Amino acid sequence: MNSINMVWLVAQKEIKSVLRNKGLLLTGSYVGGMFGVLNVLLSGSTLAINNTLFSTALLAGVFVGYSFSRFVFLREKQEKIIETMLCTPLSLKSIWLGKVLGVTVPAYFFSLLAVSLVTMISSIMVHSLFLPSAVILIHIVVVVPVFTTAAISLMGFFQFVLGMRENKIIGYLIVLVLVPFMYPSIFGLILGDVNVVISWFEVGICSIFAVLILALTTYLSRYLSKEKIVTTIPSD
Amino acid sequence: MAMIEAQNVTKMLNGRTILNGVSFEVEEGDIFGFVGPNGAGKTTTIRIILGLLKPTSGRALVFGKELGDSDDLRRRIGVLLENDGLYERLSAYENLNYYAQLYSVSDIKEKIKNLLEFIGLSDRQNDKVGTFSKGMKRRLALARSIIHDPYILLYDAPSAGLDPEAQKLVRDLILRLSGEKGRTIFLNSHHLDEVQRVCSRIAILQKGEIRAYDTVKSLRRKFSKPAVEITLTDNREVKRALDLLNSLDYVSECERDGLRITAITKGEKTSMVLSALMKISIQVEEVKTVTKSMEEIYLNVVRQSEGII
Repeated sequence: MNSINMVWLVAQKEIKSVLRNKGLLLTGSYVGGMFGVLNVLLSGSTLAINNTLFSTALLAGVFVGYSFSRFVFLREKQEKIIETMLCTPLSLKSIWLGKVLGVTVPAYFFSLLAVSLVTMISSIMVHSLFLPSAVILIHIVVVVPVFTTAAISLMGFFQFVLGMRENKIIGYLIVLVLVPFMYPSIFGLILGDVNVVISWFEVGICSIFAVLILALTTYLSRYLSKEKIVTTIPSD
Repeated sequence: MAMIEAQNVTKMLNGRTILNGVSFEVEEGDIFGFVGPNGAGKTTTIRIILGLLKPTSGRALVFGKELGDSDDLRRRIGVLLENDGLYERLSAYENLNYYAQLYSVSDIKEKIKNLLEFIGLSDRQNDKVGTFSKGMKRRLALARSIIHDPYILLYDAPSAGLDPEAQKLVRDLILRLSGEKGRTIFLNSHHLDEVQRVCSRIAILQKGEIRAYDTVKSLRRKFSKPAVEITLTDNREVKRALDLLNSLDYVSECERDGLRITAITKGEKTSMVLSALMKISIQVEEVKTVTKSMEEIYLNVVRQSEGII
């Protein structure tokens, strides 16, 4: 079996594990669903709905991805299953990539769920079928999965190489930063204007960020080693 | 060529010496017992052999090579570590199927069926592992470790938490793998009785250093004094028997426990002790040569190195 198949094999297993975890599904549904609904209710105009879609799709993907990656990377390390995996013929990079893919696919699914909810509720509110703008559509279909993948890769890296205490601190930081961002009003405030029009510029900025995160993760990956993972496994 | 070899391995972690100049060889077909108290460095040793940790100095070789990132070598090794390495949300079948695919095993269905039958979990194959007892998980983990028919097996406390029946299954499996298939097994264990029953060679590790390393037979010879245990029929003859035994030049020490006397002898002297007793007409119910158990040898070695003895 070649390494691409191996990566896909790991990814399939992770997707299966995530989809069988009721707690994770609940988190995904809550973040994807509730935040989608909340955001659209907080916004009003068609313009704001586009902004809502922009932020909800991105942040739901990253936030759900973070919850799932805790289960896929951190818990496997905490329970020491990772040690057995590291003894298999799989390379460390294949394991890592497989896990990233295994988290990204369901996380992106929940991001799309949030987008669908926002679109549906908005359509009901404006009494006609609401269609996102071309920029937002490209953002959802291309930028969001790339950004989510990049963010999950970086989170997975930290979860692999850092100890439990450090990961806890990072976890709090992620929640503190992401939750306020889930609200378009706050997002709008940060952009300087609630009624700012999301253009190719904002989408481009997001893409650049995604590429930068991917570049950073690729650079950091040279520090990923079996020894780093094993020595940060919590002792009993 | 040794199948597993540690050459003067030293490992420092956070400024602390975990292993200090550990050397041993495990030959093909050997069942090698690695014993020692908690924190002695057994798990670190196994991790270094598996390439999960790099030694600070020295080398650990498997098939004559450092395991490192060699996927091909890892394909020929089976492991059962402290954790079972099983996914609780997958069924027994799915777990085995996953690992079988990782190791590119052929005839997966047939192999899984046979293994599940062997470990007695055929009827639970579709149940999630999370619903299994500790013993069932350990048995499944054993099956997982051999699904790809490895040449070398590294087991870390394989029978920990198992009931006596499952412990026997583990022992039988280890003996079968070594005896019938000529597999080499590295057994990290606290279970001295198990080590004594299955291992051909043993290393006792303490505080990161090997204190004893030999075959079970040689360790017995080295660490246990020959002794004869005599059970008398009459309490009134105990004193006379003790006087006689203490007067014999090949008896160095005597201990009494009711009608039973244990005489430490200089060499194997069971028949001589018996005939000496019979010469003065002492009625003997039973005479037997006493050998030290692995537990006694282990404690002896550990205490000796701690300077207690």
